[in-house]
Amino acid sequence: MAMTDDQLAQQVHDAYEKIELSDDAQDRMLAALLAASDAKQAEQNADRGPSTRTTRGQVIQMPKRSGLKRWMPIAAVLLAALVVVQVGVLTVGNHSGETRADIAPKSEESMAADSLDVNASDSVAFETAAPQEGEAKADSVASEVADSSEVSAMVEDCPLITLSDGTELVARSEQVDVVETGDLLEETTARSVDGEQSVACRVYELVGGGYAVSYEGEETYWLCD
Amino acid sequence: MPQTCDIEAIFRRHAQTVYRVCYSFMGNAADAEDATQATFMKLVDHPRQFASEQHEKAWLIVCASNLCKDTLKSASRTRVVAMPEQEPADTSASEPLDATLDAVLRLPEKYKDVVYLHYYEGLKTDEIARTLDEKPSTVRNRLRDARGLLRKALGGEA
Repeated sequence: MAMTDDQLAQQVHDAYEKIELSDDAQDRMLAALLAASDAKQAEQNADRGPSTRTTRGQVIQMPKRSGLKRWMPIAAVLLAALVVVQVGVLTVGNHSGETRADIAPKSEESMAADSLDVNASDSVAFETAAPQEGEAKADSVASEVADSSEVSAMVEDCPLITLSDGTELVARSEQVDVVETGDLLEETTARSVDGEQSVACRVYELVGGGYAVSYEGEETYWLCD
Repeated sequence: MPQTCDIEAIFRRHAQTVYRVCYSFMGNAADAEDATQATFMKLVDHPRQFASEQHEKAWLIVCASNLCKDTLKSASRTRVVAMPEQEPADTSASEPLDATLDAVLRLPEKYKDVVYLHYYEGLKTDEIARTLDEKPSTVRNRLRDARGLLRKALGGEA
């Protein structure tokens, strides 16, 4: 017997009625939905509202001060470390200067010596090696160049000196040992060739004749002609 | 007339309806529950105001229907889950179904929403067309074809 439309409709309706969400499942789903809804609400509240921003600004401001205070001892330690490193560098620099001066005689005496490796950045490295004449000469020249380059600017900039008696002197880039200098002859001014620069200096008369000049702020004596 | 998006109230009003729609598509309780929750979660994520409870219900039914179609399409693409249309009996092993419900679950996807809206919600062809944003003729044709399939499955004349 053929099923009528009404029968079919009723049958299908009844079939759908059998599909039912359990109470447990409903509670579980509802709890999850409410939690998600609350989280979203909280997120929205956090995102808006001028009072919240003001509070944030105040909260941020306070740690800034304490943060600065917290960093101050660290900054002091870093500064101290920097000073120590600076002193160390200067000490090594002085030591290397002495070594440069000493190295040539040592090489000449054919003794084992510390040879110097002067690189482009003027840093110094020590290494023990058998003396070699070529190396020693090269190092000697290098040390002279290094020494002269340290102060040659002063000599080159202001080489002209006129004594009170009218004697004209010209400073050369050649150092004179302090033992060779006699009494102070005169305190005067050295000037540049074009006359635009000048610097105070002391002129000494050398024991063996001739003159030496020492520029203000330096302890080096330069030969004058 | 609900004017605000009170998710708890909406859920209590329409949980069973949404679940039935989802079950008719997914064919098993677990997937139907997931789809139901996902449907209401859309309302949480994008709250909206409805003109009436009927409007609210229609929106949820369409939303659930689309969500289930997308889920099934995605599952068939990734081949992670077997198509419910092919194997609805697997899920019914632990959930005994009657012959009519089994026949409804075995209907092709495109007939499921119109069958639910017509046979369970009692909507007329024009109302279904407006709800699903389809042509009335399309809805009529689908209902006719679905009726034929159900008759055939239930032993009556097609």
